[in-house]
Amino acid sequence: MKNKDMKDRDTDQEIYETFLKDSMNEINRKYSLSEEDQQKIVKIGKNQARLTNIMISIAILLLIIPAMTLMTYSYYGFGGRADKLIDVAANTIYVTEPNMSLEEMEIEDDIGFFSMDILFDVYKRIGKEDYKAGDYDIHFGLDNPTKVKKNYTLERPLPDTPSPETEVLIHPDAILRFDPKEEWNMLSHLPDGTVAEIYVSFTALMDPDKVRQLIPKEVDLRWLAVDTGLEAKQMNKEEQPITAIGYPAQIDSTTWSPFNGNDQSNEEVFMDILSQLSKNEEIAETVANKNLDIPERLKFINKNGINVYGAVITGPTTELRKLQQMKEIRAMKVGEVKLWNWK
Amino acid sequence: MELEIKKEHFAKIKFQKIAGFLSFLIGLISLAGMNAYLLLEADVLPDFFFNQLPMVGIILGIIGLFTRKSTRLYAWWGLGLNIFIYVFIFLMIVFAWSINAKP
Repeated sequence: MKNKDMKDRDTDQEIYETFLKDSMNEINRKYSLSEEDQQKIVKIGKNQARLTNIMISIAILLLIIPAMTLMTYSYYGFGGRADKLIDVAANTIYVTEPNMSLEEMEIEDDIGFFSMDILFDVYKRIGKEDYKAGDYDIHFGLDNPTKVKKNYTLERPLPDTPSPETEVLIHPDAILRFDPKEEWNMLSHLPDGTVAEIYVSFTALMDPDKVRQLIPKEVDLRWLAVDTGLEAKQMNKEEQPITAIGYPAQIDSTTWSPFNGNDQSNEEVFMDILSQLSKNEEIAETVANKNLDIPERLKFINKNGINVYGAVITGPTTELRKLQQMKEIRAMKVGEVKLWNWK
Repeated sequence: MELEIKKEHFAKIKFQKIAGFLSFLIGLISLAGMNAYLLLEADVLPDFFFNQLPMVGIILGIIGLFTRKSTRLYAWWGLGLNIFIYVFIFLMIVFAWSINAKP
């Protein structure tokens, strides 16, 4: 019995092995690939992988510039960073450049890779017309101003870097380094049919309203230079020359100008701008290309109030000549002169 | 009859396979156009590279996703790149509008 069982098992195994062998032979016969076919498949696979790699690499390379552009735009766009930089640059012009304004609506921005350029024109009011005084191109690397290109088209531009020798608005306690008689003489030799811009320095510090009352109606008061405690010495604590700061004397009818008189007086706007610039002094100093020492000067104004020591006046040359008789005027310097446009 | 159906079926599979690849290729061409636009700082947005081509790419990418017998890698990449172009344009408009906005 036992022997019979053993025999049956051997026979089963033999049948199974034969079946397995036949099946394997059949599979090999049916599905086997020749050497050539196998090489062909490997080659196709290799080429496909190579093509995929190349295409993905190109896609990643082509995504770099759009991704960087998006990152830059989001950097300047989020939180109004670009608008703040534009605002600081524009306000710096208003308070550091006598009788200079800009068209806020014409300020252009050009955003590059992690950088931004602000481009705008500046204007001077001479007589009753605004003349283009030049253009600015301020380059920001992220939010640091790295390059400022100023191109003035004025006939008598103010010096780019301030110095006591070239200062046109002189504090009553400062030394006068030019001869005002020569300037009055120049004005008297200008043709009557012209309009001019003059920088006048007063004999004493005055309240802005008093200056407005003092200046005759036949001429326009354009800009007021404010005493900030440093003008008498014309130097800051580090013995570096400083420049005049002030604000437009008249309401600017342009809606987008900060001095539009809608909610605040020009004096209040001036103080607000100084606080803004004191927080962004590096930007303001680079744009102005001058030492501003805003925090220190703001402190002085907060303590002593706004006192004016000089002003920019424009009007018909014949009317400007009459200002020589005013005892409150200590010195005068002639600025730009244009053909008659007084209305 | 049966042979014809089989032929049609194979053609469909082949088209789905190619559609994904074409979508990826169109995505790359559109991206190259976008790079040229950004580097040349051109004023006018070329409609062909920023609208028509990506739209074709998206349609082909969706078709390519339905393939079952081969990889959908190309189709996914094609869809991603072409959708990115639309997202890029949208974000650029939003940012350009918010920076130095003028009425």
